[in-house]
Amino acid sequence: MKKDDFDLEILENADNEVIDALNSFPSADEETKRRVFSMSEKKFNDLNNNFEATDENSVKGVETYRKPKWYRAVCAAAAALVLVGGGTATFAALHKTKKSNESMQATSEIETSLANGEDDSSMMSEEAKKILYEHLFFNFWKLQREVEIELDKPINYYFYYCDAENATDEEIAKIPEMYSNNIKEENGKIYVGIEYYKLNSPYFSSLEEYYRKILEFSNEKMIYKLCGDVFFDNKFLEEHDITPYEYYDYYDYHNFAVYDNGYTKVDFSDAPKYVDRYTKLYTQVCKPDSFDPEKCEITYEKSFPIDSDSFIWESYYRLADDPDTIRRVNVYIENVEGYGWRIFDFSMDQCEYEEFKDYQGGEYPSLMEDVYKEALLNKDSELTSESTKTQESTEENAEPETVEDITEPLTAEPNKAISDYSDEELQNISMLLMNKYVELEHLPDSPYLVPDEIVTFANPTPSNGWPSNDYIRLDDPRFSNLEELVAYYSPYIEESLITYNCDNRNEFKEGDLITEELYPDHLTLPEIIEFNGKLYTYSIGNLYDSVVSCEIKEKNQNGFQIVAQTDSNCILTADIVKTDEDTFRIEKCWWDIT
Amino acid sequence: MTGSEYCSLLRNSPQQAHKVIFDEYFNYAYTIVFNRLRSVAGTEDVEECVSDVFAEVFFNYSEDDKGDKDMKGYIATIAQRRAIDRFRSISVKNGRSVSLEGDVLTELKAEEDIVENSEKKDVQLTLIQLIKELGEPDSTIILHKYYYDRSSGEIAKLLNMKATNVRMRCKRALEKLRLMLKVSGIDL
Repeated sequence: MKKDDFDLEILENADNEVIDALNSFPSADEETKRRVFSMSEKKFNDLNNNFEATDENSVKGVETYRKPKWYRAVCAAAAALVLVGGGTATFAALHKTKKSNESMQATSEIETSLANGEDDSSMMSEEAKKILYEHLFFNFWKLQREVEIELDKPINYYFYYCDAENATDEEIAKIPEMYSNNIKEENGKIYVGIEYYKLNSPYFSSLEEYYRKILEFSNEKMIYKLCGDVFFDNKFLEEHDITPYEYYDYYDYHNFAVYDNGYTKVDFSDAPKYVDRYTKLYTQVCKPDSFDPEKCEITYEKSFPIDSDSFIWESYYRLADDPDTIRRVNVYIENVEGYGWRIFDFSMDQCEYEEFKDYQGGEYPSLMEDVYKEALLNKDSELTSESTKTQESTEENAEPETVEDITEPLTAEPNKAISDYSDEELQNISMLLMNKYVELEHLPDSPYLVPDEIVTFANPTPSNGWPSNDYIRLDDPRFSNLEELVAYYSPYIEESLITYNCDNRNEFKEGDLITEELYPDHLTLPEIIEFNGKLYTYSIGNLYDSVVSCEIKEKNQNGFQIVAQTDSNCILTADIVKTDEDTFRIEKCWWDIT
Repeated sequence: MTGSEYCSLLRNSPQQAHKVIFDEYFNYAYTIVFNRLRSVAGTEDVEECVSDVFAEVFFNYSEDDKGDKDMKGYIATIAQRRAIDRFRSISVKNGRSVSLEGDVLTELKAEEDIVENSEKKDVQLTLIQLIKELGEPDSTIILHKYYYDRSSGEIAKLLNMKATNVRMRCKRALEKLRLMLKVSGIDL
């Protein structure tokens, strides 16, 4: 889909020289890289195995590198289904760790101590780490397992699949079979329905409670990993507009998805596992990959220490009802200040069990090798930078520089020409004014935001930089409405520069559409609006924090032009003039080409 | 990395050797494959193709290979061939006619094509240079938004930024780039 009618398709089918030029940019992220490497290794192993199978007299003459064909479980979330009215499945424990009373007490003490983050993992014994792993991980899966699902009344949510004009037979054939009977076409788009079933659990009755429970044992990442993406609104979203990560917020309990047969774009693997509909919880039914520690036979397990606050636990195990499959899990456990020991991440997969194979693991966690190595590297570099920082601060012991904040207009000497000012004097004036400009630009990130006071305006499909539709109350003690805001900054900055990013029409009402047509000269929505006599703003995030240098570019009779550089290497050019009131003020300011 | 260096690594630890060669040339292979497949394939196809490339590299290089073969050139050739194979396969499935333009075999081209290709290359190189002049992270944002067709969220993840920041920077960077293109006389 073309964005802004701008496309770089001209770069396609380039020769080596152009490819080399493109190669100077990163082409994909680390996750993609890891994924492609795994695929490459798997294919290499397949090639290898086929080669050996067909050619006994190998010309290689060396021992072939083999890796077991591990593959991902279909559904990593364990959910033992208890059918309503269908009886309860009974499971016999295969292997229970028998503990003496004494060791049970010791276990309990260790659990408490570790759960509170009181112990340093570098000092912990292997047994203590195992207990910690079991304490966190097994409780975690208990939430997934002990549920009831009502299969008789599913509800449907429809997910955008493709435009009808692109719905070739081949595209439709890609829809997983389990969804292929639930396809709809509407308004020129193809939607695939996924059924959700009411879920009953003794531990939680809403999505919010479920999340809180998970957070007792683990990092927020687990929510996404187990539940899939959770969308924050039920409005229609266009293709490409939103990715899961934009809506994955920490502890944002007020923004859970509330679906009502809404439509949204999703990849099937990203379809949320749970939805909360009118405070009742519904879930997809997925093939259970039952991780029940009481039904596991552990083949091998060990820890991989990282530092005093983290380690990875690896376990190879088989399930009683599936002894031909060996499964492995890596769990990254860390001690988080204020929370204690928690699961940061985990990974699971399985492959065919080979009876005479000695499963001992390797030098690195089998599923988190890269993560482990990176964690070790980060640990080393943190130690280095900490010692460097300590050394520097000891050596220099300098106070941080602060830029003076002005509260009065910058007065100019009435009879002094611009050319009579030294560059240093003009630079000082520039720094003061530019930091005032930065302060204005930073109002959307003001410490005076009141996060609980939000007004929402309907928004068209977010694309091309249009931000979210929530405006947050700005309760700055210096100005309570737009008129006062303009009055506050106008001694330093020309009024049109202030109002460019504001809207003083005061005509909004909640529910209004904000469209580009309303703001033909604007690149974005106004950053600051006045609504019901109060100021509101949306945050666009920090592009830069401060101006670090100003260079005088040219002088004229009425003023001078400067080029300012920010801490994030943004360049601003500004015209500063001497006003009729004999003050210095920014007349124009714009982003400049470096 | 030369073939000899790779083979030497391979002797000690095949897995490590694969990782090293992958880390060094993944970006390059991906750039080549994507450049060929952008008009016909999605991300999954590109990734599949890149994994095919490396599987072939891992498989074809063995301890018996000698010499200081230039791995970059070798990988580039495999990447181009695999990409073209996949381009053709996808094009056939989509009912598109197959263009000979991407064929690695040297063929006689019409004189007009040579001139056109040369002009196109000049534009491509100039465009990339202008994008670089935007400075980071804007240049990466622009390339990933309008060439790699990534969303703001994906770019944010790549650059460890907020998605809203990416959108804002993209908007401003695009303005700058358009101006630079106009000044350079390039019309996309």
